[in-house]
Amino acid sequence: MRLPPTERYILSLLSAVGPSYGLQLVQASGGRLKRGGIYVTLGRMEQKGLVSSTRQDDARRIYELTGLGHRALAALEILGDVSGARS
Amino acid sequence: MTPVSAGILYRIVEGFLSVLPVDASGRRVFAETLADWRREMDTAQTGPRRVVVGLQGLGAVARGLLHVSVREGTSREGVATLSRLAAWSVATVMVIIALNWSQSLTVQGTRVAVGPAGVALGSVAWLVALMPVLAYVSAACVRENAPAPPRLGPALLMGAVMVLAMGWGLPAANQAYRELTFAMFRPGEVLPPGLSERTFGELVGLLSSGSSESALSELHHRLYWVIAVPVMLASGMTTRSFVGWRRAAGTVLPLVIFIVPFLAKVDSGYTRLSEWVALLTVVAVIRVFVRATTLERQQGHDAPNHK
Repeated sequence: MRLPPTERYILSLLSAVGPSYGLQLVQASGGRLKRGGIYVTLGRMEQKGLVSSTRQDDARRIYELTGLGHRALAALEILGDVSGARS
Repeated sequence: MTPVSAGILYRIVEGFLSVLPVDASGRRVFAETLADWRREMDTAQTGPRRVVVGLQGLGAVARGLLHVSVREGTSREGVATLSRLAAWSVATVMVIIALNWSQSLTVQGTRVAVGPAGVALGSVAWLVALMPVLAYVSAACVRENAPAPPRLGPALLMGAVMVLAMGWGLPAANQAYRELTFAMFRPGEVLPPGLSERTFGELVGLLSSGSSESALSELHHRLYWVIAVPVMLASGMTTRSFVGWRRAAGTVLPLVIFIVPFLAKVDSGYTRLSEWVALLTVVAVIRVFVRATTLERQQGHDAPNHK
């Protein structure tokens, strides 16, 4: 599975910060992720099975890595291909 | 329910997003983006902070809209829709060129052929004029049970194409045609562009001149075309969901409604108004058919013997 840089970054960020809302990921990224666009990326990652989401009362969702997401992140780390969210 | 603290800008954007023809995943993107906006607005204590949050929310919605549109426009169904429109456009241009191949002008009592270049340049205006109909027909006339296409992305992309076409492409083609034919009468002389040959920027510049009324009318005319083409494209794609007699009626009726103002001898003061009314009526008719189809499906699903 080939992953775009943004998806790789979100994988590592979710691994670092744990289950989060999209807005929390945007804030934790220090500007690398953008409001609005992140939900298209997260939706695509959910379709790929890399993340799962749980809908909350206010229409927001909490996102977390799936088993496939963890394995994909581990494989990327072995390849040295993940940029620095886990510092 | 939208909280009171959300603000007028939020409400306007929320209302706008609710009428866009997006699929379920697009709706989810907008719902989450708006939920973030509401949450940040709830925690904004001061007026300046609320302004900042409002602008951030607007930017987030715009970004989400762009990403959703690109995703839809580049999807397999979106590319297929646009490719079909391109094919219909090419075929139409070829027919127009064939019909006008022997077009000629009378120069000092002598018939002079316009030539292939002139015929090709003249076909651009025809293609633009027919584009709303082509968009609708190419989107609606597909085989039964074709996959439901995404509508927002292809429609916005065609809107962007029409901005370029109406703003620069058509004026350039018009002027090139005029210069080509004018050179037959007055070789070596310069032909200044008329209103139809002005770009968007030039027309906006004319708004503060003595030709402001004509420039405004020309801008209005071109704006109509920029909006009509994506609306007709999205409407044509929507008709694919109709079944039975609604498929035939829901495909033909909106097209007839759209064309009527151009065929009827509407008083010149009401021409533009009649075209806008027709376009809005097309959208209303499509929505009525959608609602009827949805109700019918629900009733069929809820029927006692439904398995």
